[in-house]
Amino acid sequence: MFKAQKQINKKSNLLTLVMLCCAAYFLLPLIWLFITTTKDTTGIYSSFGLWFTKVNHLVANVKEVFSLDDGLYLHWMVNTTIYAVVGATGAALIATAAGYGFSKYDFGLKKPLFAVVLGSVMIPMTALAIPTFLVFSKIHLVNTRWAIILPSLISPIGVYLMRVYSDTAVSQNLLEAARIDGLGELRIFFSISLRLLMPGFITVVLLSIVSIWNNYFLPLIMLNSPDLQPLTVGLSGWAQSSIAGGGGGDSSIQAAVITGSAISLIPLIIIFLILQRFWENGLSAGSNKE
Amino acid sequence: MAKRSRHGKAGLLFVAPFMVVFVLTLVVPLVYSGYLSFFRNRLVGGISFVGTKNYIQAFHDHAFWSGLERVVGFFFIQVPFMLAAALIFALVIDSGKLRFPKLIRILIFIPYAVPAVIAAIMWGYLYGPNFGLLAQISRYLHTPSIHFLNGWMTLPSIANIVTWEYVGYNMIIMYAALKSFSTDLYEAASMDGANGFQLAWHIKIPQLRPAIFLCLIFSVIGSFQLFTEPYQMTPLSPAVLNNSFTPNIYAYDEAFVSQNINYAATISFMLGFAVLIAASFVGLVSRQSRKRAVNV
Amino acid sequence: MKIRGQKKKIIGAFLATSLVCVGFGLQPASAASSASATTSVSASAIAKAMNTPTTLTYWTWVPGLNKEIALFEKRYPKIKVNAINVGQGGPHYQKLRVGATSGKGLPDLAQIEFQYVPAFTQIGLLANIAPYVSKTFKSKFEAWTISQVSGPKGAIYGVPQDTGPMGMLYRADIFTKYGIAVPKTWDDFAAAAAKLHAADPTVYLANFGPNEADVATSFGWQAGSRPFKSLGNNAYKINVDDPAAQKIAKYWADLVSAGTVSTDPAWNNDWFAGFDKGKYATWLTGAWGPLFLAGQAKDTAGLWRAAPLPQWSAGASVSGNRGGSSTAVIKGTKNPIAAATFAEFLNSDPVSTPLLSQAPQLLFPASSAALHAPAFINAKVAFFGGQQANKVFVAINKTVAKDFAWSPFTDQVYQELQNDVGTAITGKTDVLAALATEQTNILKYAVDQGFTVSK
Repeated sequence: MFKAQKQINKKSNLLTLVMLCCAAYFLLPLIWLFITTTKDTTGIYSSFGLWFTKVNHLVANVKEVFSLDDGLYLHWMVNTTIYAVVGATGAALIATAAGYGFSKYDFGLKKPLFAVVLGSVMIPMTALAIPTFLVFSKIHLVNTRWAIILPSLISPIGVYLMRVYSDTAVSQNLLEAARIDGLGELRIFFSISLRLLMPGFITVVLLSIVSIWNNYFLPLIMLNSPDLQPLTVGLSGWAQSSIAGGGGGDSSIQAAVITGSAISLIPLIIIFLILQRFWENGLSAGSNKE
Repeated sequence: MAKRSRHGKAGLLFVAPFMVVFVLTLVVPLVYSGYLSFFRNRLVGGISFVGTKNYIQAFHDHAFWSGLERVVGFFFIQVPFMLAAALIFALVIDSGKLRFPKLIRILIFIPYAVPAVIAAIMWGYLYGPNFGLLAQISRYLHTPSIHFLNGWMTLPSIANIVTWEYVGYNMIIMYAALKSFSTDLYEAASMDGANGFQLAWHIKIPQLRPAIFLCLIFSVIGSFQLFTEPYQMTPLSPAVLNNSFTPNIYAYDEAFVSQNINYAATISFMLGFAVLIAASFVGLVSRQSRKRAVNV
Repeated sequence: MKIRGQKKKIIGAFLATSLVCVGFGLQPASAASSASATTSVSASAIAKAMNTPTTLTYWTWVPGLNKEIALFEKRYPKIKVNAINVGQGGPHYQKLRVGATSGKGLPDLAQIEFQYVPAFTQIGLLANIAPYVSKTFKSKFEAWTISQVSGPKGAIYGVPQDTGPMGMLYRADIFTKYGIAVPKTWDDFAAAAAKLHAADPTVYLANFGPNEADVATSFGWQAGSRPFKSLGNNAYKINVDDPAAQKIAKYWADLVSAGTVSTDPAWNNDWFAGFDKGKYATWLTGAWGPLFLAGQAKDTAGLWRAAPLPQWSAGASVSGNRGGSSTAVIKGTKNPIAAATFAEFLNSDPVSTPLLSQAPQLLFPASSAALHAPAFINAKVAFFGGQQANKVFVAINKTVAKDFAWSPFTDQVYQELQNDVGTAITGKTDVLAALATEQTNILKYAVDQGFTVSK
C-alpha cells in the first residue's frame, strides 16, 4: 500500500472516543427503556433511571403487557406485522415493477408519468391522511385492514430508487438475449430481472417496513377497533390511559406501556442488524443520481 | 437507455399497478378534499356550498399560520443541525480513522427503528421536570434542572427527539453514497499530501451533493407534516403543544374536535400545497448551487 | 335541567343530523328519531331481544368490568358484552367522532361524561333509550344525574354511572407538620398556600394545571357561574365570562402570580409523581379522585384525608361537580334493547352496581341505592388513614348546585378555556382579557356552527 493511504487510515483514538460519546447519546434513551422494563410504576419515579431496583419486575411486566385488555397487545403485534409485511412487500413489488418499466422500456407518456412520480415524492403523506380517510369512509374501507394496507402500497421514492437501480443492475443485452430465447416480458421480469434487482428490492422493503411500522396518524384516524390497530396506536392509547382522568383509569399500567414499547422494538432492531448491508446497497444507487 | 420498440408497451404494463394505486390513494383523496373544501357542514343547518370561504378563512386564520410558521422555523433550525451531524458522522466513519466503525454506525442508526410514538413516550419520561432521568442527573450534579417541555424550550426539545430519530437515517444515505465513490481520487489526493479534512472538504462533500439534496427533500416533507411527537407529548406541555401547534395537529383537531371536516380538508389541502412549494424551492436552490459549482 | 325544549328545534336537529348522515354516507339509524319516542316497547319485545344472540361492544375506560359483565351475562346468557378501552377522555371522544363521520367502527355502547352528553346528542350519535328502560328507571338514580342525561319530551340519552362532587383531598401529615388548619374558605386557602410555600419552597398547597379546563369549570360551578343556558331551538345564552367566572380566574391568577401554587400540567407522569413525592399538599377534585391517588401515590397511603371544598363565604356549603359519566347507547346498534338493558343493569343492579365502587374501579356511584348503602357510606378507607371518606363525599353530593348546564360543543369550550385562560394564568398575563377572548371565540364558534346565541 501507499504510504499516504496508510497515513489516512491510521486509527485515531480521540476521534473514536468522540464518536463513542455521540453514539452513547443515541443509545442512552434505549438503555433507559430496557432498564425501566424491570421496574414497576412507582419504581419508574423513585429509582435512578439508569440503574435497576432491588426487585426485578420484568416478568410481571411482560405478563401484564400480554394480558392487559384480554391480550390486545398480541393482536397489535400481529396487526403491525401484517401491515408491515403485506404493505412493504406489495409496495416494493409495485415500485420495482414501475422502476423497471421506467428504466427498461420506452413508451408514450413515460416522461410526464415519471415526472409525476418524482413530484409525488414531495407530497406529504400525513397531510393526505384526512382526505384519504374521507374518501375511504365513502367507499366503506374505514376500520378495515385495507385502510392501512392500500395507502402504504405506494412508494414514490421506491420507484425512483428502483429505476436507478435497474439502470445498472439489468443490462439491455440480457433482456435482448432473453427475448431471442422467446421469453415474454413478464416472464423475463419475474424469472430473470427480479433476481438481479433483489438487493434494491430489499432496500425498498426495508424503507417501507420502517415507514409502516412507524405509521401513526393514518391508523389513528382509520381504525377505531382496537383489535385492528397497530402497535403504535395501541401503545399510545395505553400511554394516554395511564395518565388520563375522568373517572376510572389506571395509572399503574405505565410499567406495561414501557415494557410493551421495549418489546415492540426488538423485531425491528433485529431486522436492522441482519439486513444492515441492504440499506447501503440500495440507497447508494439512489443518492448518486438526481 | 431503451429505444422505443415493439416491447415498449410492456413498460406501461409494469408501470400500471403503481399508477392505479397512485390514483386511488393520492389523486382521488386530493381531488375529493379539494371538492370538500368548498363546502361547510354545520352542527345546525347541515351542509352548504360556501365557495372559497374556507380558503379565505384559512388565509386569515392565525392558528393555521402560526402552526405553519412553526414548522418552517423547525425546518430551518432542526434540519441543518441534523444534516450537518449526519454528514460529519458519515465522513468520519468513511475516513477509516475510527475503531469499531461498524458498531458506531449501527448505534447511530438504531433510533431510526424506533417509531415516533415510542420515541415520544420515552423522551417524555426522560424530560420529566421533576422525576425524569435528565432531572435526576442534574439534581445529582447540583445543576438547576431544565424544564424541557416548558415555554420556548418545548420546540427545541421536540427537535431533539426528531434529530435523535433521523440522524442515523440521513447518515446512512450519505455514507452509502460515499462508499460508492471511486477511491482513485482519494488516493491521488492523499498522494498530493491532502489530509483527511481537506479530502472531505474538497473531494467528498462536493460529490455528496445529490445525497444531501435527497436528505433535504425528505426533511422538508418530514418537518412540514410534524404530528406524532408533539401530539403524543401534549399532556406533558399542554399550554405550548396546543391544538394548533403544527398544521397537521390543527387539521386533526378541526376534523375531530371542532367537527369542521370541511375546514380540515381545506387545511390539509393548503398544507400539501405549502410543502410542494417548499420542496420545489429546495430543488431550485440546490440546482442553482450545483450550476454555480459546475461553473466554478 | 332542560337541554332542549321545543319541537321545532328537535325537527331542525333531526334534519341536520340526517343531512350530516347523508352527506357522509352514514345511514340514519331507524330508531333514530330523537323526538317523542318514549312509549315503552312491550315486554315480549324485550324478552325477544334479550334472547337474540348478540355481542355488544362497549367503549369505556373504567378498568376491570369483568365481574359486572359476568353477572350480566349470567342473567342474559345470549348477550355477550365486550368492554374495550379505546382511550380516555379526549382520545375516546375523538374516536367516537371519527366513527360518526365515517359511520364505521362504532361501538354499541359508550361511556359519555355528563358534560359531553349534549355534544353527542347534538350530532345524533346517542340513542334515546327511554322506550327500553324499566319503569322505575328515574327513581334509581340521584335526581340531578337524571337531568344531566335527559333530553326533551322525556328522552333519555344515557344511564348515569358515577359522579364527581368536588372536594378537597389533603395530606394530613403536611398540614400538621406546618401547622396548617384545613381551610374552610378560599381566603383561608390562599393564606395557607402562602404559609406552606414559605415554610417549604418545594411544597405547594395546590397545583393549577393550565390544561384542567374541567376543574376551572367545576370551580365556576361552585361559585355560581352558569356559562350556558339552552333557550331551545338551537339557541343558547353564552356567558363564559360571567362575574363568577371572573372571580375564579382572578383568584387563581393571583395565587399563581404570588407563586404559592404550582402550575404543572396535569395528567401526566410527572404530575402523578408529584403526589407520590409530596409536591402537592392538596388535590381539589371529584369524588373519583381517590382512585388515582391510591394507584399512583402508593407511598403516601394513609396520609391523605378528604374534606369539602373551601367556600366563598364562611359557613356556606356549596360544591360543584367534576366529571362523572353515563353509559350511553350508540345509534345504529343492532340490538338497542339489549344495549339499554345492559346499561341499566350495570349501573343499577343491586348485586352488580356496588362492585363499581370497589377496587379497581372505585367509582362514586350515581345509583341512589349504592350511594346510600351503609356499607359504602361507613367504609373506612385505608388510603385515607381509616377516614370514612365516602361519607364526606356523600355529604358534599347533597351540596352540588343542580342547575348547571353544558353546551353542545364542550370540547371546543374546554379547548378555548385552556388556550386562552389557562395560558394567561400560567403565563401571568391579563386573565380577564383572556376570559373576554374566550367568550368572543366561543360565540364566534357557536354562530359559525349555526346556533343562535345571546349573552
